[in-house]
Amino acid sequence: MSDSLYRANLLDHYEHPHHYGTLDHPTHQTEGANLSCGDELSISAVIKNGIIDQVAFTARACVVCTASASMLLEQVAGKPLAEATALTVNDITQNLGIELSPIRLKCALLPLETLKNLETVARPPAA
Amino acid sequence: MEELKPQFPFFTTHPTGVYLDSAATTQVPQAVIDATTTYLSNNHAAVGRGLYSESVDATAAVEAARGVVRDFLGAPATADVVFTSGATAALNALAWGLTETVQKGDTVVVTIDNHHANFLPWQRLVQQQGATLVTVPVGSDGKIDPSAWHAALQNRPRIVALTHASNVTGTLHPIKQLVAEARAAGALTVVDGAQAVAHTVVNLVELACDYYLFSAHKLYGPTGMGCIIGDHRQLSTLDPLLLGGGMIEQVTAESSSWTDSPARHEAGTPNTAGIAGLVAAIRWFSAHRETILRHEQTLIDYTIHALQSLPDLTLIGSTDPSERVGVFSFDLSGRHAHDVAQILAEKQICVRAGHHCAQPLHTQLKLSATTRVSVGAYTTTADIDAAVAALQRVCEIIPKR
Repeated sequence: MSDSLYRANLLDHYEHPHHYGTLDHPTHQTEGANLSCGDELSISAVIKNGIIDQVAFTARACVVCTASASMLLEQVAGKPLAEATALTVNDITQNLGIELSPIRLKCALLPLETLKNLETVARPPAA
Repeated sequence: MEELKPQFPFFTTHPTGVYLDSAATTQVPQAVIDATTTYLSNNHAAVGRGLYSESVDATAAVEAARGVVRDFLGAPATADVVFTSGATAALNALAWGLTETVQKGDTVVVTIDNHHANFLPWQRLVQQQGATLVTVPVGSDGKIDPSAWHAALQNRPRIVALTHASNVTGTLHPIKQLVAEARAAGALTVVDGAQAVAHTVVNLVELACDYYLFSAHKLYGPTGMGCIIGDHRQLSTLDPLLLGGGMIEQVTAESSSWTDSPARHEAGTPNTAGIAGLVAAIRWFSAHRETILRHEQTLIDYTIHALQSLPDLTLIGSTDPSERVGVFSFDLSGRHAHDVAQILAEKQICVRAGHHCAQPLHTQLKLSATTRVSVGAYTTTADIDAAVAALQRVCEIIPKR
């Protein structure tokens, strides 16, 4: 049997994730975790006039979660935040192109759920 | 093992499957299936109150089952066997029943390798009572940290809750010594035998803990069935967790009183089919115990060496087969356990991935999740070889982190 879940494109996103890293001056930031398996994800973004100008993530997560995050951020960069947060389960599974068991679906959805929780970064008052 | 494996219909249904998740649940031999089916087909009746012969027989079978459990675990004649829906229910019933034993300022001691069922009920108990939960760490070999253990006992804890064998590290603890030390410190002792009863010989007269418990489905029996074994007088003083039919002495509109153990802790209709299955499982296991334990010792040695042949694999716990049961959790150089288990599943190899309901231990190990291989009476060295080959494949597919 082939290692169907671990196709080359998923592994490529895992090994070389797009938008990986942190932003120097994010306007929005959030973290997410899948406590049952230990996946952890952090997303930061610069949002200007409702548009995702820059976005980046760091993760300590499985292949499915990391690849899902990489594909998602590639998809939403430059788009309106409202459009990004309106994405659904179907959009995520389409990105990945694989069938997922309920447990692995949680891995795949963590990035989108985290993105939907983006919060404004508190700025220190100007001196 | 070739001799016993044909007795398990699961492997007829899944001829190419490799089942390495016996620590989660064991497969069920035909003898247990037959006993459950026979009970439900021919002997099923409500127990306790019926005056017809079928009910009298079913009641007698339940009472006889207590003796089977007592004999199996070498329990003293004064011990009660309380039937529960499993080890989790048993631990919740004990923690509830022992609540008033713990007062503000007291301590309750748990070891960090307890699974959540032997951790959370105690955590809630101390929170309710204004007491403190003292968690004793384990070393990299899976053994209880001796200095932390003795320090915890110096506080004269009210209760010490131990696991006989860890479902993560596989460590088979020197439980008799630990119980003796805890009792000498004045503590009531609760020992979770869920991972031990199918992998070692338990003698409760020698062990001398206050309460021992286990579940049937890790002993080649059915799910939804477990037992608490403890002294009749002690169990008869514990406040029952569940209230209902069969456990009362008297009920009036204003107040009620409870009967003695074991009925005191068995509100509602008992799981008679489960009890029939448990008895059959104990009989089946006891008939083959010597062979199974010898086989598992060989298998443990084989598995340790086989896993260690993988350069990226770090085994959790001791590498001494005599200190272990056949439970092997490991990290594969940072590859996520879900990815590892998924690739093995695609090769029809059943293993467990995650924190195995033992988050505090994984936090101590600084691992979010591990992959776990565990063995049973039907496991063969070919199963282990298949798992190791698949793990090698995982290492080729997924880069290490």
